[in-house]
Amino acid sequence: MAVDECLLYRYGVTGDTVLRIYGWSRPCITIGYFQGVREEVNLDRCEHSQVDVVRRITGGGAVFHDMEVTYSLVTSRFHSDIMESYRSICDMVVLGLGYMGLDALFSPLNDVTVNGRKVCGNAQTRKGGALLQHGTILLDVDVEKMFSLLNVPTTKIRDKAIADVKERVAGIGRTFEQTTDALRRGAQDAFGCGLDSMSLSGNDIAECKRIMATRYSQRSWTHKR
Amino acid sequence: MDTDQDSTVVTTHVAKLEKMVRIRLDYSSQFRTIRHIRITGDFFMHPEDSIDDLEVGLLGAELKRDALRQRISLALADTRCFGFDVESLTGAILNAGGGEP
Repeated sequence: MAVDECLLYRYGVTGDTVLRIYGWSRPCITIGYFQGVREEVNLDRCEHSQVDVVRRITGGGAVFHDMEVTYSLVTSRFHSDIMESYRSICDMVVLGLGYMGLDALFSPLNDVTVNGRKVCGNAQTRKGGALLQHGTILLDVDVEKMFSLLNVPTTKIRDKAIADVKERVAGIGRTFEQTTDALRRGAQDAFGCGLDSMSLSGNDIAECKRIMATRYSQRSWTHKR
Repeated sequence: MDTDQDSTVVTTHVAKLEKMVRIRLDYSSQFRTIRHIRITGDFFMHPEDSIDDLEVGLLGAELKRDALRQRISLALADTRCFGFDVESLTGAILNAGGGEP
């Protein structure tokens, strides 16, 4: 999260578009900017399971990051209409999934579906003339584990929620490497450009550490709502 | 004005609008005015900081449709929301307060 925010502030204003593709060293839950952490997350179970919980700077719902490819995209060149900006960025996912033989569709406002089931969710923020979009491409989904960590009021509702999610959400059944390769190809097609690899500079890393220290490692940030 | 019988009513209401919106509402039982409100959920607002303006802007508002609609419209005048609109949020807050008298 700190790296994504650093990219937003340091590269969003340069005119460069930065695509970061990453995974997680261990499962984690992120909650949307407007969500109440105690309402959404079973904090005791997360602590017991060593699952970190952190608030995003983007809206949307709680996400259990486990078997997925995560990406962030920072750009100052984006459509002013929010839905169109989601559509144009999600195009790289749609095209990338196509390279793996998957017939994907953009599903407004912020999802990508395959065979009617959500395989990719996204969330944006816009700050200082730049846009950050987070996105996750699900490789596989462990719905029972997810709902053991998220709060659902009653057992009855939990069973229904699990059934609903199983019906609506799916993993794409590809490997991390296959998916990252396809996403790179999709990005080149969607944006009509090549990709140059980049590394964070020393100043970038220092800024990431500052953001980490002042925001994401602070309980007051994740528990602010 | 007799305030002896006034107390704070604390309620939580979850509304399935276009997105899930949870209203935690503290209001005066006698005057039916908002003393504290927290609006959470999986919605989107651009800019995000508008949520603070919205919650502050609702303090003191009467739990009446026109009053709420006016306050919400003012607070969100320059904000784009996905997951609710002025009318649906007004209705959710009214429901949190037990409905319009």
